[in-house]
Amino acid sequence: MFAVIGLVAGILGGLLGVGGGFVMVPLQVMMADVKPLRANANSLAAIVPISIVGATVYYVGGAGGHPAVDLRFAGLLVLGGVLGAYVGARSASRLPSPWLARVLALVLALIGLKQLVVP
Amino acid sequence: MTDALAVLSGLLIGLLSGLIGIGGGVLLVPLLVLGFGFSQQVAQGTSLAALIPTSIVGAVTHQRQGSLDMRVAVVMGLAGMVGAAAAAVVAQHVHGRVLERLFGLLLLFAAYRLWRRS
Repeated sequence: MFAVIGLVAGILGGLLGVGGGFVMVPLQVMMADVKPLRANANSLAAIVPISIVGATVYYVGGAGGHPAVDLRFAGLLVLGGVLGAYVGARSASRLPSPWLARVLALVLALIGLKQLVVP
Repeated sequence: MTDALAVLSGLLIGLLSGLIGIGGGVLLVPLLVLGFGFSQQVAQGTSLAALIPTSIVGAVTHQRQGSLDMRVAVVMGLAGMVGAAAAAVVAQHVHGRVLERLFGLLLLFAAYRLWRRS
């Protein structure tokens, strides 16, 4: 069961450049009755090999022999990301954010529609 | 200037991930494409590279707190590696526009889930 979940996440992750947590977390909860917090932890751990393999293929196998990874940019993102995640984790318990999630959901939906329809 | 914006983007996405519990890649890829003019493939590859240290830190934190089931993580990770390798090869040979459309669907799905959860 978990192998199937991992395989699906890996395929989506490799194809679209994401970790696959958005399928691993709900599928573990729905199909294997894993508690959400544990499902989240398992998902993050599984993303480690998925992202390593995925990034390597993008780097080595980019079209026309050009690496499809901007390593320097990735480093800068991580630098900011570590700071942001730290602040986010510390303030998560204090900040009620259903409205923030809704605003973000709307923004994502609009971008999704744009990417789907407008070249 | 672009460097500062890159660090700022990482900070914002890390913050939003922590606050809302949404994966970094879903936010990062469209930002790189629409905000920084990356091609869809390079945006996706860069997103995967940025996920490596981020997911390691996250996984180690959960492991220390005892919330990680290592057996499940290993099984999912091994199967995930196979799927990721195959799909990443395919992604290099698919037209960027096709990936953009697929990513659009992914964003709509993510938006739907986020809305329902809030």
